[in-house]
Amino acid sequence: MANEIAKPTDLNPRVLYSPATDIVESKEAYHVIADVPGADASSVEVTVEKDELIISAKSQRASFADAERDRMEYKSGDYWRTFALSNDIDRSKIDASVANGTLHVTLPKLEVVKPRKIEVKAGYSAN
Amino acid sequence: MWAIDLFRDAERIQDEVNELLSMVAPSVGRGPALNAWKTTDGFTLTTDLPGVSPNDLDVSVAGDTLTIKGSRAAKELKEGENWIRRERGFGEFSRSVRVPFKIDASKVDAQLSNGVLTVRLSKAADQEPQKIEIKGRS
Repeated sequence: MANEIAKPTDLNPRVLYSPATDIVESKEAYHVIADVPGADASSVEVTVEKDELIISAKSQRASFADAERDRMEYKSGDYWRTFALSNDIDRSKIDASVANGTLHVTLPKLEVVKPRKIEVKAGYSAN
Repeated sequence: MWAIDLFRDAERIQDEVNELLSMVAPSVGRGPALNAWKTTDGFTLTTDLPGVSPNDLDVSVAGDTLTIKGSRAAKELKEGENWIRRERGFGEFSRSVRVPFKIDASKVDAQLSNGVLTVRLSKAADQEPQKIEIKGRS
């Protein structure tokens, strides 16, 4: 189903950005790195729901209420984006941190189930 | 069976179109976008520089010009790592803007917080309006 996961209503609906994101895969984990300028640990939420990783962040901006706008080249907004999780991710060990307006989510891979050799015994009887 | 598969394809295409249409946030590029406000004694400017360390950022003023330059390091992949998705910009950036007054270089205040740079500029004192005494013959 398209967009089964509802966007939280407390995010700014007028300017809701899909943050620019890098994803790196290593042997042990996936690393999701997203730019969320203006957000800090208190305003970023990372959740796992229905096999989706959901990133949402509120951008906190100074308002400069007593100043007059002169030039506005960009709009600041909140952030929201989802990623489908593959089956090799250990959902219980997902870890997230934010620094300098960049969110880093580490998604460790499940321990690979080691191949098990089945011993074959001689003496099979159909009876 | 056919009908179900077609329906799933249609949904997947819809998802992809939605993703394309969603707004992609501005990333760190060659010339970062600025917002500016006029204050009582000068200008306040902001720009988004997520993931840029203060050590890699240089803010300078000369006359009526403010220059913001710096770089964001490209991630180097380690042995066994590979890219799944790469959208964030990297490399050097530089932006200069002129303001309609001479900047007081001693009062420039630059703060980098949560990936947002805020620079406060004040007018140099000699540009404050001065009342000139009119001499007259009496």
